[in-house]
Amino acid sequence: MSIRLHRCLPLLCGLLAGLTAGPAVAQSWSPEVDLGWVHNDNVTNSIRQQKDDSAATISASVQQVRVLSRDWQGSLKLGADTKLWREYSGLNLSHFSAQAGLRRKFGLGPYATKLDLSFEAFHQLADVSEWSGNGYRAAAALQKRFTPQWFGRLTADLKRLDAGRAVYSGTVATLAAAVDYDLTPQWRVSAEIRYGEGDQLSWCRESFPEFIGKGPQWTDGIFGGDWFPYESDGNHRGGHFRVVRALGDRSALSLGYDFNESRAPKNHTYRNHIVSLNFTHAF
Amino acid sequence: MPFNPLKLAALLLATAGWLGAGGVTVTATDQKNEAVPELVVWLDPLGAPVPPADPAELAATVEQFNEEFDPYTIAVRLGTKVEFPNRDDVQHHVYSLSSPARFEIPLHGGDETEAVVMDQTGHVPVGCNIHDWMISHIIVVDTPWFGTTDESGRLALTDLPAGPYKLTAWHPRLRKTDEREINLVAGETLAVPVELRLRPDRRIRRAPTAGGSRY
Repeated sequence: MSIRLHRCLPLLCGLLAGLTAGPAVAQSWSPEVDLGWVHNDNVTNSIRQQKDDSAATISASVQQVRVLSRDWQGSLKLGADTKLWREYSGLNLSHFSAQAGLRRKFGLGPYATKLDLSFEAFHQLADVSEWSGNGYRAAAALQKRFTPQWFGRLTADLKRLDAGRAVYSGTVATLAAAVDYDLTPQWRVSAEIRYGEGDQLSWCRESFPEFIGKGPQWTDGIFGGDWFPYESDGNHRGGHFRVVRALGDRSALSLGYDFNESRAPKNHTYRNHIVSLNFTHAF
Repeated sequence: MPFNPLKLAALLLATAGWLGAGGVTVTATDQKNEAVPELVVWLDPLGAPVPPADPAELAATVEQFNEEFDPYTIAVRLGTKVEFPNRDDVQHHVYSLSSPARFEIPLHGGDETEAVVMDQTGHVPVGCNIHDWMISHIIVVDTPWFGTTDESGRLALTDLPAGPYKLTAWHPRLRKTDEREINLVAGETLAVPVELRLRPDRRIRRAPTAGGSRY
């Protein structure tokens, strides 16, 4: 599955033009920063000889929301993020993104259902130059607040990356269902389950039984030795559980656990257990 | 000059109040013995007419500032014109779906002020359709004696005619209003301690949600 970015540019440009030319009054830009730490027990996405690593994450964004009518809002978001791994610096990735969003609210008040549509174009920079490239992400989210404490959402997400080398390129479609529950005004717990299909990027060794006799592979040197990247088409199942502590109205601290299980043909299954700690501040 | 019975009644009541004025000081605490600010308190006279309102005093303001309503709770008299000035540089869409006042003030931007006349008594919760966490509670009462407690949980009402009153206290975290009868004596200030059992604060949270891994 491949949808080239340039085919989506007219849509993105149309959304941006609509947002900037609308009759709404000028809105201020809202900056937000997120600093985090993440640990992944299987950064090779491998079924054996898994390697783990930790990374520092930094992201910053500015968003402008334009109220188009009682029921419609448009948004424009510019962002940058980077992930710096402690041991395997070849995994370091940075993104520069522009996202246009459209929100339809079905009624008045906090309990009205919301439908969010967004399209994001991004450029990815990687330490391994062949991993750099352009991509896009299209998403739809249906959100509903049931009580002041309970909030639910269903999301559908399609992400595509066209990298310098085909093995890093790929498309993944994901469906997810999530709920938030506010235990108190300060404490929130969030849970999500998801299912995805698409391309999986993994690393393995030429000495693995599956690859013996297939000849030398292109290696990227991220994990050293004879480790090489390969891609397969499969499905992903996973979820996360997160505890979030509000620090005032504009900051929050989050501790999360993500689980991911990816199945490729021939029952090649790998798992990731990811723990993350994040601090977010909205200015 | 034509005879105006309303002005005459107001004059008589004002004179009566001046001759025999009393006061009340409310001190509100919760089940943890902590002060309860933003408690709306009003006094309805029992067996006596309510003095007519001075039209010049029938005005109140609920600001939108820093993407919050200010004040969080407010009492106004029946017939009050409540203005909703937007002090932010973002748009707000103020609304209420309540029975006493159902209204919408759509999409007003910075430095724009719209107003609504509160012509029925009761509780008027006000929200913003853009920022779901924004909420203010307007209590519309048919009496001139009302107010909200300060940070120390205190409210002083003065210059009330002596006599019996029903004292009512309302807060968003109360299951039902707290009501009691009091008797004011001319020249004295009655101290009324109000002990309340408040429910947990269940406002919609505003803080951002941190976290999320892109890996």
